[in-house]
Amino acid sequence: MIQINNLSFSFASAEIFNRLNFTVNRGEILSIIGPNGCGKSTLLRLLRGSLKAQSGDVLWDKTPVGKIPAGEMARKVAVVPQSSTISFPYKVRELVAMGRYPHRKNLLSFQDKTDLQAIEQALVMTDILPLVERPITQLSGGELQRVLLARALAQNGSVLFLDEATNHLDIDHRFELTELLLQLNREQQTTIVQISHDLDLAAAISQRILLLTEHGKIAEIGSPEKVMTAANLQQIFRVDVKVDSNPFTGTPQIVPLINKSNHQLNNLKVHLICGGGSGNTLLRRLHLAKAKVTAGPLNQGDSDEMTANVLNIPVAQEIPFSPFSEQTLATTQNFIETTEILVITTQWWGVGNLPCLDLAETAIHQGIAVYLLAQQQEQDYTGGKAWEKIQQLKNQGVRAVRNEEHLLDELDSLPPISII
Amino acid sequence: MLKNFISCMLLVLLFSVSAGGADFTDAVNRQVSLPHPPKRIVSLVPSVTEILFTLGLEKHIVAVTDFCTYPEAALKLPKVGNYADPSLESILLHKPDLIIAAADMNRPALVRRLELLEVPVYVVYPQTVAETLKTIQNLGNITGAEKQSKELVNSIKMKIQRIQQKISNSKQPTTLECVLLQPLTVAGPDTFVADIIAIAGGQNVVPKGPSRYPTWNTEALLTIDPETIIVSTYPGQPDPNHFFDAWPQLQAVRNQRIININADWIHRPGPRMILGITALAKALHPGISFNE
Amino acid sequence: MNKFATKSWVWLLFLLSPPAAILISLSTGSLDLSWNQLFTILLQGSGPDIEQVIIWQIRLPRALLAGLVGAALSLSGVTFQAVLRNPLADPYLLGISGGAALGAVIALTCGFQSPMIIPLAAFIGALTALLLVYLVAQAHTCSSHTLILSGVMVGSLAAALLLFLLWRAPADATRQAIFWLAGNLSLANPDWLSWGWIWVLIGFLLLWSQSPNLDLLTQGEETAADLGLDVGRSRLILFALAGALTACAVSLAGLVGFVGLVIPHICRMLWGPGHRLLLPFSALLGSSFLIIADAIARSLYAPAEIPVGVVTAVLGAPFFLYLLRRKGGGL
Repeated sequence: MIQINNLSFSFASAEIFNRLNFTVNRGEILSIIGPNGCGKSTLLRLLRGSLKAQSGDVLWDKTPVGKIPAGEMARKVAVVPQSSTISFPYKVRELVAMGRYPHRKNLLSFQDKTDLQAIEQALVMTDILPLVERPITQLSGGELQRVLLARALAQNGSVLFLDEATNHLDIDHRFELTELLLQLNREQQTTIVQISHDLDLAAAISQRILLLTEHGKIAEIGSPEKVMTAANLQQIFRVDVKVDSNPFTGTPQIVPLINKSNHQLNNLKVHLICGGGSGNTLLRRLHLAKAKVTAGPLNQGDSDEMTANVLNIPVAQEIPFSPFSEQTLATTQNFIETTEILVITTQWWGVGNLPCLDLAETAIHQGIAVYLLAQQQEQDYTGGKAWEKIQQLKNQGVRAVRNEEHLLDELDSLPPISII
Repeated sequence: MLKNFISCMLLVLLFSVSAGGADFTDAVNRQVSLPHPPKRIVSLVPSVTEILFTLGLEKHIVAVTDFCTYPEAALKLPKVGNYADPSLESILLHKPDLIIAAADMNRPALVRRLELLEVPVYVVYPQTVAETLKTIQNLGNITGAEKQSKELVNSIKMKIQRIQQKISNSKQPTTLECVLLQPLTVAGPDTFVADIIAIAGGQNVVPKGPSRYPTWNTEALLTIDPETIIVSTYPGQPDPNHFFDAWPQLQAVRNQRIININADWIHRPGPRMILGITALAKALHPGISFNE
Repeated sequence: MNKFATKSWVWLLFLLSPPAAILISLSTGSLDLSWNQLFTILLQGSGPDIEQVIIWQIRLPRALLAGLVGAALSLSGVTFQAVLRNPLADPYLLGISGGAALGAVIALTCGFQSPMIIPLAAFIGALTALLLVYLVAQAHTCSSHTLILSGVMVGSLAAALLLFLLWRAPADATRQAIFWLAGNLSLANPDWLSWGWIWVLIGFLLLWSQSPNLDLLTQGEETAADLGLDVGRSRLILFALAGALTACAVSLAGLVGFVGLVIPHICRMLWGPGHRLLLPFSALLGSSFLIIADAIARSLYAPAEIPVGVVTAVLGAPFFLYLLRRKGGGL
């Protein structure tokens, strides 16, 4: 029903979407999920036609959205916005009645029976009848959200867009809203596109889920089972979770694996070979776990170098944008010789940082425990040399770990090592 | 020996005093000390400029304001700006030995700043005809032109006396003096104009109020309906002869007692005020002839 | 208290208020008249007697003028507050006061004395400023914040030029300018009354028809667009209407302050923000308010007259503060 072809959109100079492609099917419930700032609200605006894309098109039943007249569009799709700061004390009923605006015959017409009926229905369905005479400036966040939903319902469109409509709702209203959406979808075949942070509920009611990466690309689109896997969630949201099947609905249910125990590393000496932001989280977590961290080699201005400086972590520094010099490598070698653990993060490999892998090899021979985080072959820009070295390291006793959590678990469980 | 010495000292003292150097008190009770009669005067007051010219002191005037428009010779004198905010630099450049300022147009702050220039400042503040005559006399005294000023004062006094004699038995018509026509701004009782009206034998209809020059609307005009309307506006205002034609209900319109008088004559507290008084007397008492 | 009962009571009060205000205004002034005399004169009709002239040719046109200026300013204030979503907006925002004042003062200092020139210059100045702001902000697409900012800039520029002209001007022109700037109902020609009323009436009807759009715009430009409103076009129409009303008011009476800011608030507090009711009631209350304020300006120091803008401020501000405390916010 709604087709997005090669949609590209930028805000000022920041590119949000690049050649996005997907479809919204008629009568489906589609949930858009993704990390903060990936452009979900913007995407909704683009679908609605309030924002114009730089290239590509948004087609509603084969008509470009820009060509559909505003009135017709408003009769077709209703938007429930995230929130609104309203300075004028309209009564709830007046606000909901505004939803009938697209159905006005002309500016002078008054509300007729259909209008009143639609308004009443909307008020009942969102359970705000007791509030009708109250000015909206006196409502709580959740009550206001229900009012905005009622307004959208009063519009009687065949499509409903919701932008985090359950944010402020308490649990019973959250369930009610969800029931309502299901009912609309079932009885009136309303197409629903919603942005939600409530992953469980989204999984429970959506036919399809669209998962966006933080760079505005589609990670996955499909049924909840297909999209909401532990691997996807780990990659996009950087959380460790377990995904079960909800025994009642059969839909994916997320079980967060909150590590209740604090990692305590007790001045364990760890040296980190990182760069380009790959060591950011680790630097922080190791520091918080009270390890004695060193890092390098890193170029000045590298984001990991800046993080290390902020945390007062000694760094083997190189001048910006240059490959690592002999001197820098020698400094790094010194750090490594006095460390207990060497960790290599998931990073891009180029000619400049290739020598780091040699340092790792030396470390192994010196008996230092070397941990290697998962590497991607695509991130090897040395024509295969780095990948070769990595395989070699694996053969020489480097310990491979899945992710940072795994690494910290391993380090935590190490018996106290005496200084070599 | 000592007696001679003392007599000599007394003579010296006497001589120095009579040489013209003296202390004067000006209109705002300031002490002004002039070691000798001023030879380079800056006049910051248009009426004072006129007075100085009339006293024959024009060669001692080194600078005046933009508004010192009379006599014509004054227009050729160097200017230092307007009377509210003259250029202090300009004043200094003329190396004055006396600056004359007015207390209403020049604020006290200005006088303070002028004092800082280390030049004697004499402040005038004539509010009535009588005070104007005193001012003329004082200016004569401080400039060493006592004789001329005395003559001028007496001449004006005589003319006023003559006019007042002639009108002593006449009725005093109700009078309204318009400073501006749009908006209609009239002279209240605490003004110089009001004093002139009184001397010329008129009754000012404007009551005391919050403003010395209040604005009136048409209704006020119609209600009060003065016998005579004097218009003394500066160029740029509507034609006074036809301005009131829209209101034939006014007796001044019906009886054609709307008279135009040169604004300077009745607004400037200077030598030409006698012209104003005469013109006003003629306007208020049309039956009487005032041959000069 | 029964909400409905209160409503119809206040209804009646509002509908009757401009006529009542006119009666009060007719009864006061430089000439003392008893109520008996007043009614006799009203029933007699116009005539040559001085009292008749004063009532029919001076006080009545003036009251009607005050009424129309008050209505125009209130309607304009309501509109700007809604479109800019800013309860502090007044009819003179977006540079209109600066433009009008500049126009009037240019006319004054150029020495034009024809009674038509100054109002015409003010009118043109007001609309020119609005147009300039609109073009500078590319108002078709920009946010209301951008509009307000450009309005402030254009207004400031006009004010600076204005001050320069006043500095150069002779004392008389300055005094005239000050009177104009403070708002003055005595300058307008009663012959323009009928034109003024037609203008304001048409303006009102057109604005009233836009009530639903105004309601929508208060919800924010995005929401209004979501509900199908052509925001750019609506804003243009509404600004043009409000600007035209203000320009009319300003050309007749100078810059009368406070009416356009306070009256919409008072009406909103009593009547809610729905524009179907807000517009007509603001117009009615604005009318009455200015009629009374003008009567006070004329009578307080009779025969002298104080600028009506002084009275509107002195009356309006404390009353508004009082209402604010009673209702506690909720603008």
